[in-house]
Amino acid sequence: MITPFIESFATQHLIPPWVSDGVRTWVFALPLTAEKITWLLDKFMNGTGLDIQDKLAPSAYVYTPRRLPQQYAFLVIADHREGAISHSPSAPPFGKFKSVVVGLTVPAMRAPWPPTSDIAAERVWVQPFTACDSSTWVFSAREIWGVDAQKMKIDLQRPTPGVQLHLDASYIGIAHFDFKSVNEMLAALHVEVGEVAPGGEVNPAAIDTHLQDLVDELSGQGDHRSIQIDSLKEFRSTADLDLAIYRALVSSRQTLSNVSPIRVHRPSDVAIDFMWTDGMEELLQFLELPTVPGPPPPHKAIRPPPPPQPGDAPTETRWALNRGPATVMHCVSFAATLGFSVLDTLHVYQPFPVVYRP
Amino acid sequence: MTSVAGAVAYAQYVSSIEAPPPYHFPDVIVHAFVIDVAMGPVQQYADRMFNLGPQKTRGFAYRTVPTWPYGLLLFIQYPKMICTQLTDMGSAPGYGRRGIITQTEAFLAIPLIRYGTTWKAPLETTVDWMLPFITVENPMSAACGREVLGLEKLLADIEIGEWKYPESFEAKIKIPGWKTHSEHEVQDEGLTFAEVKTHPPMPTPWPGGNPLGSPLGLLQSRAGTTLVDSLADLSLWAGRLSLGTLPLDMRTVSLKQFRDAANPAQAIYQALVTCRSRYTDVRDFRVFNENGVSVVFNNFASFNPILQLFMNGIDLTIPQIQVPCRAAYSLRATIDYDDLRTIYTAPLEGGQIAPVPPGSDLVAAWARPWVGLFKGTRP
Repeated sequence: MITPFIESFATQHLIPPWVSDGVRTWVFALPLTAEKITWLLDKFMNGTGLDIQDKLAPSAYVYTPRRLPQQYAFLVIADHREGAISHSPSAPPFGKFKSVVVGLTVPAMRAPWPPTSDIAAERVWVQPFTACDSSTWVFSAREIWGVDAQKMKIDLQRPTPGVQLHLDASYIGIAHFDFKSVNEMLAALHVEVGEVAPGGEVNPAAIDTHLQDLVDELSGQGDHRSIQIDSLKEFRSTADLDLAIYRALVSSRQTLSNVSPIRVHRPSDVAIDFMWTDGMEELLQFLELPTVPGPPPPHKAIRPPPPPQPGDAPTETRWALNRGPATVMHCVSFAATLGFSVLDTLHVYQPFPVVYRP
Repeated sequence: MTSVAGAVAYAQYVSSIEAPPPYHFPDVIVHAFVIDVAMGPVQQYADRMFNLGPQKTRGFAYRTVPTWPYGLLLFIQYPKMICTQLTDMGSAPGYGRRGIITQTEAFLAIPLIRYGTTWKAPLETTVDWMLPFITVENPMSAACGREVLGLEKLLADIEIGEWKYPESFEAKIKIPGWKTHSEHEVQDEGLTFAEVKTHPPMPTPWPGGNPLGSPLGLLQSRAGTTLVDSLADLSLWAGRLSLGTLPLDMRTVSLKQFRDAANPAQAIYQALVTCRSRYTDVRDFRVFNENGVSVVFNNFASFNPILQLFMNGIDLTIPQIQVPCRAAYSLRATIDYDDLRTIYTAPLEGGQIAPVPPGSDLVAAWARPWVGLFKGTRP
């Protein structure tokens, strides 16, 4: 006996399991420190962050960084241009969901807590930043498998001579938090990959083996056909914004098949710039990016005028922002069939905070 | 103050996008269209979404207003949305300290009467408005509406402007959707859902008919104009000028619910949430001749379930549906959005779901000061 979810037009979600064919994928490795991964895991997955430790009982799992000489975060761009299709019996009776998903993913280990010899630690991935140009995908990710996804305007240009990839992402937000600041369409991310110059191919032997192993996980190479993605699914209370009416750890599986030959790109041909705004600052500090004045080329330091109609959403992107260029350690691209399913809700934090006024 | 026991902390990214109420919205522009709705489907929607579980446990029932078979289609432009939540959340600054957001939204509101079904019924009976659909342009508003308030907000592109005549009005709502049930069709992020056009406001003689043929047009007659001109404070009369179709104190009700991740057919949380929109400083009230208003909905495959919530006999053979408009007007106002309440939390069953006890915060708005007076606290 279960309480059924009441379906409506607003819940025409992309419901797992879903499959997406011909997903053009780009994976960029960025250096990261173990301290930053520990901060991320403690705050969101272990529930022991400084500001919440007195309000939250620990879960049955503990997340730690992987034991690597060098830690990495991976920026992954997935172009679901053919559209994902759900195979869930709860799926809405319509067609496919097209989207471009941009996300940062970090490798971690999930072990049972307290430790037991019966259950082995698992290699998992945690996503501190996810953006998508499809509102349906964003609502599905937030409300079903629990990724803190943001709707962004994503302009993914087709390859042109000399440029393999050019992606610009922007979002409606506030550049500098202040009582009188007004929202704008703010640049968030710029990625460009140039054409491989003749003789400029990367020697695979030159890649650090640990890094190569992580890239293989994300690109379905070797023994790696799937990865586990763990996320914190949570919803706010209507009565107290610091509290959640539901908070749980969810584990999902992403599977790659029909993977095309992997193309390796020279890091020197890649430019990645995260843009500094107060909303993005936490992410840039997580990646420990420097501050460089002005936008990356070819963008100009333009601050568009506000929309003429009162209330209209801003549409023209403000590139008049400082940027944080990322150091790229490795880059690969491929196309594949991507399958996504939820494995389980690992842990629901208790008790439910049913809140009433006195 | 709210008291909370045994609560679970919310883990906050600085970039988390749910900006929660209360809000203050100055200089809002409202265009309102009173359209026909069918009471049968509306009652079915209320039964499915709001009359959850056994009535005895719930203690109330939502019913349609039999004498009011109309809905209010509203287009609202917010030049400034000021979140008044100032306290910081963990290490993240409070949303009210971050700045002002702007947006346009469009929704259909239909009144329901919430009858108390216990001995406290007189205190618990009130009017709440259900929103069969609500579309917004700002992603932050969409996420907050869905996750905090339980409003079924869809992210939309809402184009508002002037139609071909000076001072006229035109609006178009585009939302994600599919035209057919074909499994090969890819979702269109901006499929036109509704279009509304009006001639200029009365007494401009568009569309050529007699303005006195309109109930609201009567107010534009010499006698009506004299009456209006003699009023020192037009805002006090806004409710009467709209013949009662504009609720200056609109309380919405919505079902806040979420799916289980592994079993999406199962709910992990279901609660009814109400929130108040209070209109003040109403001004620039203008009436349109409803004979010159066109309200058209596109009946594409994925939009059909929306239309079936407030219309009868909508099958997919009809590509477009023109809905009769009974009155139309525009105004400017200040809106305050506050008094957020979880009026009922449904008990849940199954799986890993923790036992959620039923609960309620039902006292009608008009009765709260009196209950507070006698109980010593404001409920």
